[in-house]
Amino acid sequence: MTDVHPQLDLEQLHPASFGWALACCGHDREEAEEVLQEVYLSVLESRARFDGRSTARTWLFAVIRRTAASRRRRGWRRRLALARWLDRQPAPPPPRSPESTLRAREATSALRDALARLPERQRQVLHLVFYQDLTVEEAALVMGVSLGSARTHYHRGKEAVRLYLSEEAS
Amino acid sequence: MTTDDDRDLREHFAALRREEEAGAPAIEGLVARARARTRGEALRLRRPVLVLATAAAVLLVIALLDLHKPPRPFSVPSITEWRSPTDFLLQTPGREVLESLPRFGEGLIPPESNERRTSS
Repeated sequence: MTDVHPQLDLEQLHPASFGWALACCGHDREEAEEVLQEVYLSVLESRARFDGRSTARTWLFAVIRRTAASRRRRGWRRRLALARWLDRQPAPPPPRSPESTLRAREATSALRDALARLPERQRQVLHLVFYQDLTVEEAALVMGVSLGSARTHYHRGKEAVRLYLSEEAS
Repeated sequence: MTTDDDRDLREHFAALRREEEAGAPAIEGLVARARARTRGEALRLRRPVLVLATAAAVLLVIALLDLHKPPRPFSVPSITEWRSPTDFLLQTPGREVLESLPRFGEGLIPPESNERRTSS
């Protein structure tokens, strides 16, 4: 259903796309879903075309980032609140034991809080490199910034997030 | 790109990734909802156009029916038949004296009024 370009497999990229959409939307799950809906529809209806010049993932992530930024600017959230409420479906429960879930949640929650304190560019580059396993060069492509700028954001972001994580731990 | 020094961060992000990917919604559901919404929005946008088109069609039918009706007889009253509503005010006493020519042997005052004067 979702193969629009031989190299672009939306289904395979979907979990990573969702994580990136969350990062672009300040971990607002509903907003991230809205962004993905818009992106997938654009891709499936050929309004956004992958031309194969970059990797499929880099291209798709750039589309997601631009869509999230555009949605923020347009302020659609209020208009779509009713539709979202009508469409909402319960999230699947995380398949983990209670103890490990609790520990993992504490760790991820500390990271989320630390990331939330970072400037947007630093947050994005760290997500793309550590969460999505992209190189800084690929992250720069996704973010639409120069490699030098991405490197600066990357190093500053790492320092800051470590500092915030240590503050949380103490 | 990441080094061993970054292992701490990598582990943190890996945990975050596991948690978020486990909670990712099904792609089929997302696409279906997006398509349903697009259809709904298209309908919502089309509704005013439908209302306007219906109104235009109704007006056109009314206009066509009106064109096919036989013309009503249209009579304009003649200006010579027209009477002013305040015409009676012009009927002043003694007007007949002014409208007739006097004749020899006849008085200007009618005989009945003469009789009334002598009897009194």
